[in-house]
Amino acid sequence: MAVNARAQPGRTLLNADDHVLILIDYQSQMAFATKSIDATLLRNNAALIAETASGFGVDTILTTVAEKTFSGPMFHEVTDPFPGRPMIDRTTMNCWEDARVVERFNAIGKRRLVLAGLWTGVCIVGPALSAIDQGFEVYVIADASGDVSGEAHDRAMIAWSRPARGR
Amino acid sequence: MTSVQYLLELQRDWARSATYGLTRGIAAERGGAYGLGLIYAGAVVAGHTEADAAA
Repeated sequence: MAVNARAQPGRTLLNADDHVLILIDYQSQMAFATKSIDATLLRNNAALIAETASGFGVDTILTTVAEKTFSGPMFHEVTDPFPGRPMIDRTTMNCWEDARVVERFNAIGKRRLVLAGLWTGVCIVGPALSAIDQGFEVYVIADASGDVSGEAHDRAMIAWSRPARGR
Repeated sequence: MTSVQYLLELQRDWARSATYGLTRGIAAERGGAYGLGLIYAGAVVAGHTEADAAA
Protein backbone atom coordinates (compact mmCIF):
# COMPACT_ATOMS: atom_id res chain seq x y z
CA MET A 1 0.00 0.00 0.00
CA ALA A 2 1.36 3.39 -0.97
CA VAL A 3 2.50 5.77 1.73
CA ASN A 4 1.31 9.31 1.21
CA ALA A 5 2.80 11.48 3.94
CA ARG A 6 2.36 15.16 3.20
CA ALA A 7 4.68 17.98 4.24
CA GLN A 8 1.87 19.85 5.99
CA PRO A 9 1.08 20.89 9.57
CA GLY A 10 -1.51 19.01 11.60
CA ARG A 11 -4.94 20.60 11.79
CA THR A 12 -4.68 21.14 15.53
CA LEU A 13 -1.47 23.19 15.36
CA LEU A 14 -2.09 26.85 16.08
CA ASN A 15 -1.64 29.62 13.55
CA ALA A 16 -1.76 33.31 14.36
CA ASP A 17 -4.97 33.88 12.41
CA ASP A 18 -7.02 30.89 13.54
CA HIS A 19 -7.73 31.54 17.21
CA VAL A 20 -8.68 34.06 19.85
CA LEU A 21 -6.35 34.47 22.83
CA ILE A 22 -8.14 35.36 26.07
CA LEU A 23 -5.87 36.70 28.81
CA ILE A 24 -7.71 36.38 32.10
CA ASP A 25 -7.30 38.01 35.52
CA TYR A 26 -3.55 38.68 35.57
CA GLN A 27 -4.15 40.84 38.62
CA SER A 28 -2.25 41.58 41.84
CA GLN A 29 -4.62 39.96 44.30
CA MET A 30 -4.94 36.85 42.15
CA ALA A 31 -1.15 36.54 41.96
CA PHE A 32 -0.62 36.96 45.74
CA ALA A 33 -2.29 33.62 46.46
CA THR A 34 -0.88 31.78 43.44
CA LYS A 35 1.47 29.02 44.61
CA SER A 36 1.74 26.65 41.62
CA ILE A 37 4.19 28.99 39.86
CA ASP A 38 6.54 31.67 41.16
CA ALA A 39 5.28 35.21 40.52
CA THR A 40 8.49 36.14 38.71
CA LEU A 41 8.16 33.28 36.22
CA LEU A 42 4.42 33.83 35.89
CA ARG A 43 4.91 37.51 34.98
CA ASN A 44 7.66 36.57 32.51
CA ASN A 45 5.51 33.94 30.81
CA ALA A 46 2.45 36.17 30.73
CA ALA A 47 4.57 38.85 29.08
CA LEU A 48 5.95 36.31 26.60
CA ILE A 49 2.53 35.28 25.35
CA ALA A 50 1.15 38.83 25.37
CA GLU A 51 4.10 40.06 23.28
CA THR A 52 3.75 37.03 21.00
CA ALA A 53 0.03 37.66 20.45
CA SER A 54 0.55 41.37 19.83
CA GLY A 55 3.48 40.82 17.46
CA PHE A 56 1.77 38.09 15.44
CA GLY A 57 -1.52 40.02 15.31
CA VAL A 58 -3.54 37.42 17.21
CA ASP A 59 -7.07 38.53 18.10
CA THR A 60 -6.75 39.02 21.84
CA ILE A 61 -9.30 39.71 24.57
CA LEU A 62 -8.09 41.15 27.88
CA THR A 63 -10.38 40.65 30.84
CA THR A 64 -10.25 41.29 34.58
CA VAL A 65 -12.46 40.47 37.55
CA ALA A 66 -13.47 43.02 40.20
CA GLU A 67 -10.58 45.26 39.26
CA LYS A 68 -11.55 48.28 41.37
CA THR A 69 -13.06 46.50 44.36
CA PHE A 70 -10.78 43.54 44.99
CA SER A 71 -8.37 42.07 42.46
CA GLY A 72 -6.42 45.14 41.41
CA PRO A 73 -4.81 46.16 38.13
CA MET A 74 -3.75 43.83 35.34
CA PHE A 75 0.00 43.11 35.15
CA HIS A 76 1.46 45.93 33.07
CA GLU A 77 3.55 43.33 31.17
CA VAL A 78 0.28 41.96 29.80
CA THR A 79 -1.31 45.30 28.92
CA ASP A 80 1.82 47.07 27.60
CA PRO A 81 1.84 45.17 24.28
CA PHE A 82 -1.78 46.29 23.68
CA PRO A 83 -1.77 50.08 24.17
CA GLY A 84 -5.27 51.54 24.41
CA ARG A 85 -6.94 48.12 24.34
CA PRO A 86 -10.06 48.17 26.56
CA MET A 87 -10.27 45.50 29.23
CA ILE A 88 -13.57 43.86 30.07
CA ASP A 89 -14.00 43.95 33.86
CA ARG A 90 -16.37 41.24 35.05
CA THR A 91 -18.34 40.25 38.11
CA THR A 92 -18.49 36.58 37.13
CA MET A 93 -15.44 34.36 37.65
CA ASN A 94 -16.38 32.49 34.46
CA CYS A 95 -15.70 34.89 31.60
CA TRP A 96 -17.81 32.69 29.29
CA GLU A 97 -20.85 33.81 31.32
CA ASP A 98 -20.08 37.46 30.63
CA ALA A 99 -22.13 38.66 27.65
CA ARG A 100 -19.52 41.26 26.63
CA VAL A 101 -16.69 38.71 26.47
CA VAL A 102 -18.79 36.31 24.42
CA GLU A 103 -20.03 39.10 22.14
CA ARG A 104 -16.44 40.09 21.46
CA PHE A 105 -15.52 36.46 20.77
CA ASN A 106 -18.47 36.11 18.39
CA ALA A 107 -17.57 39.36 16.63
CA ILE A 108 -14.04 38.05 15.95
CA GLY A 109 -15.54 34.89 14.51
CA LYS A 110 -12.97 32.18 15.23
CA ARG A 111 -13.89 28.68 16.45
CA ARG A 112 -10.70 28.11 18.43
CA LEU A 113 -9.66 29.80 21.65
CA VAL A 114 -6.51 29.85 23.72
CA LEU A 115 -6.82 30.65 27.43
CA ALA A 116 -4.26 31.74 30.00
CA GLY A 117 -4.53 33.43 33.38
CA LEU A 118 -5.35 33.10 37.06
CA TRP A 119 -6.55 30.85 38.56
CA THR A 120 -6.43 27.70 36.48
CA GLY A 121 -9.12 25.90 38.48
CA VAL A 122 -11.61 28.73 38.40
CA CYS A 123 -11.09 31.35 35.73
CA ILE A 124 -9.64 28.92 33.15
CA VAL A 125 -11.68 25.77 33.79
CA GLY A 126 -14.93 27.79 33.74
CA PRO A 127 -14.61 29.19 30.21
CA ALA A 128 -12.79 26.08 28.93
CA LEU A 129 -15.58 23.67 29.86
CA SER A 130 -18.25 26.16 28.79
CA ALA A 131 -16.68 26.72 25.36
CA ILE A 132 -16.03 23.00 24.84
CA ASP A 133 -19.68 22.37 25.69
CA GLN A 134 -20.64 24.72 22.87
CA GLY A 135 -18.41 22.96 20.36
CA PHE A 136 -15.38 25.23 20.34
CA GLU A 137 -11.76 24.06 20.41
CA VAL A 138 -9.91 25.05 23.55
CA TYR A 139 -6.20 25.32 24.35
CA VAL A 140 -4.70 26.38 27.71
CA ILE A 141 -1.19 27.75 28.23
CA ALA A 142 -0.25 25.90 31.41
CA ASP A 143 2.89 27.77 32.44
CA ALA A 144 1.26 31.15 31.94
CA SER A 145 -1.53 30.09 34.32
CA GLY A 146 -1.50 29.37 38.03
CA ASP A 147 -3.56 28.38 41.02
CA VAL A 148 -3.47 28.40 44.82
CA SER A 149 -1.53 25.10 44.95
CA GLY A 150 0.28 22.78 42.59
CA GLU A 151 -2.48 20.25 43.11
CA ALA A 152 -5.17 22.79 42.25
CA HIS A 153 -3.40 23.67 38.99
CA ASP A 154 -2.74 20.04 38.05
CA ARG A 155 -6.31 18.97 38.81
CA ALA A 156 -7.58 21.89 36.75
CA MET A 157 -5.50 20.93 33.72
CA ILE A 158 -6.99 17.44 33.92
CA ALA A 159 -10.52 18.74 34.53
CA TRP A 160 -10.72 21.01 31.49
CA SER A 161 -9.01 18.59 29.12
CA ARG A 162 -11.18 15.57 29.95
CA PRO A 163 -14.68 17.01 30.31
CA ALA A 164 -16.38 13.80 29.17
CA ARG A 165 -14.71 11.84 31.96
CA GLY A 166 -15.99 13.96 34.81
CA ARG A 167 -13.99 15.97 37.28
CA MET B 1 0.51 23.82 25.98
CA THR B 2 3.18 26.14 27.32
CA SER B 3 4.42 29.67 26.69
CA VAL B 4 7.51 29.08 24.56
CA GLN B 5 5.54 26.41 22.69
CA TYR B 6 2.90 29.05 21.87
CA LEU B 7 5.56 31.39 20.48
CA LEU B 8 7.32 28.74 18.42
CA GLU B 9 4.11 27.12 17.17
CA LEU B 10 3.00 30.46 15.70
CA GLN B 11 6.39 30.96 14.01
CA ARG B 12 6.96 27.26 13.20
CA ASP B 13 9.32 27.90 10.29
CA TRP B 14 12.42 30.09 10.59
CA ALA B 15 12.03 30.80 6.87
CA ARG B 16 9.05 33.01 7.75
CA SER B 17 11.15 36.13 7.60
CA ALA B 18 8.35 38.59 8.42
CA THR B 19 8.17 37.33 12.00
CA TYR B 20 11.69 35.88 12.38
CA GLY B 21 13.06 38.92 14.20
CA LEU B 22 9.96 39.20 16.37
CA THR B 23 10.16 35.56 17.47
CA ARG B 24 13.90 35.70 18.09
CA GLY B 25 13.54 38.96 20.05
CA ILE B 26 10.77 37.65 22.33
CA ALA B 27 12.70 34.43 22.90
CA ALA B 28 15.85 36.37 23.77
CA GLU B 29 14.05 38.63 26.26
CA ARG B 30 11.55 36.23 27.82
CA GLY B 31 12.85 32.76 26.98
CA GLY B 32 15.10 32.23 30.01
CA ALA B 33 18.14 30.05 29.24
CA TYR B 34 16.91 29.53 25.67
CA GLY B 35 17.03 33.29 25.23
CA LEU B 36 20.48 33.49 26.77
CA GLY B 37 21.61 30.95 24.20
CA LEU B 38 20.40 33.22 21.41
CA ILE B 39 22.13 36.22 22.98
CA TYR B 40 25.34 34.24 23.51
CA ALA B 41 25.35 32.89 19.98
CA GLY B 42 24.82 36.36 18.60
CA ALA B 43 27.54 37.94 20.74
CA VAL B 44 30.23 35.27 21.01
CA VAL B 45 29.77 32.75 18.22
CA ALA B 46 29.02 35.39 15.61
CA GLY B 47 31.83 37.51 17.08
CA HIS B 48 34.32 34.68 16.68
CA THR B 49 33.17 34.06 13.14
CA GLU B 50 33.85 37.71 12.32
CA ALA B 51 37.19 37.58 14.11
CA ASP B 52 38.14 34.40 12.23
CA ALA B 53 37.14 36.00 8.96
CA ALA B 54 39.18 39.10 9.79
CA ALA B 55 42.23 36.95 10.60
